[in-house]
Amino acid sequence: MSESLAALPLSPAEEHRLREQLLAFARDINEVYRRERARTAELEKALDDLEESYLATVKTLAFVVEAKDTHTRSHLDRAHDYAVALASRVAPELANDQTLRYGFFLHDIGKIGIPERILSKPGPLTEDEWAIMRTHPLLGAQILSPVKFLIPALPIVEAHHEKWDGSGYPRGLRKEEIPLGARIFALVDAFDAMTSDRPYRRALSFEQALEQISACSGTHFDPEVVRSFEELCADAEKVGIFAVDRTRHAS
Amino acid sequence: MIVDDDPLIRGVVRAVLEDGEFELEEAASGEEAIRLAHRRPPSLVLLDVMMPGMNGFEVAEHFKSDPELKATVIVMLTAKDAPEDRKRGMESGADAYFTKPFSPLELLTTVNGALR
Repeated sequence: MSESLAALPLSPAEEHRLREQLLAFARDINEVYRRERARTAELEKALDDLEESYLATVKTLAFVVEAKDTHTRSHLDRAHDYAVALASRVAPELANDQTLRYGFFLHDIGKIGIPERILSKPGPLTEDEWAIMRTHPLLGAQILSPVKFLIPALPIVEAHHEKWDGSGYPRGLRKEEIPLGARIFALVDAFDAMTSDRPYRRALSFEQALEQISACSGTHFDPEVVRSFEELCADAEKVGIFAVDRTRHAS
Repeated sequence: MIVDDDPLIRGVVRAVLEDGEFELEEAASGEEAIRLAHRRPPSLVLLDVMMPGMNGFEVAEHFKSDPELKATVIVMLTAKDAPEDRKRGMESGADAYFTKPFSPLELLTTVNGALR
């Protein structure tokens, strides 16, 4: 660069001025770059905060329903954790998707529109009551549909009661017609329900519940997802992911 | 560290990079660079190829063969853009290769990426 400057017929004063100008440009680039970096860091922080508050909002919304239902807050948290663990095994790109997690938390939001007497009825439901109960997935999707950031979570809400063989509800979807997120969630939801005490029955042990899940492979659940869940449980045995639940349920 | 016999290039590099988070040393020749580096090994060296005395390739080879200095990231900075030069640069252990006139932004991104 100095060679080219030297080749120009410049007086020493002009050359000095040009050098100073060049250095001023360079310092400005440095300054602009640093400002942009600081700004990017700020925006990233803001985005993180925003995602955190989204999640907090979603959880609050979900807990409202759970408070009304017989389920507990811990069911939601556990089912969510299982679902994320299983999703990372089945489809890692899915597990990193925050909206999928929203779907896990909000799957039962439609129950907000189901009458109390049906939700908390101690005995078995009549056919009519079942018909109403079975509307909760679609109702949930309807409730959430105006919220733009939740749109990717709607398939899980809508399809979490569908079964692999088409015998589920509300649409009777079969196999891959059921979104993968919903297939994953259906399994962990059932697993956690089985390993939790209910007013009408005691919790199954971890092993008994896993047997039940395996027995329903290809009927109730996606065989691939079941296989991944079995692997996950085998690994969990080694690393103790489910250790807390196991001691609680094994008694 | 910036190693270049041209004070203007050293000045521009300093003006572009200096940000208080890392120290920038200047050397006007390969020999000076090695002397300074032995006193305090730099994390990264911006190395001109065409210099009187040791050229940039030789300096890079020295760094990469010295156990104390071989962790140093070496960025070649040269007016030449012949493919064989790039090859020579990589063979001598350079981690990146910039041709003059270099883009100050690219330099900033590379250096910041390597140092953080």
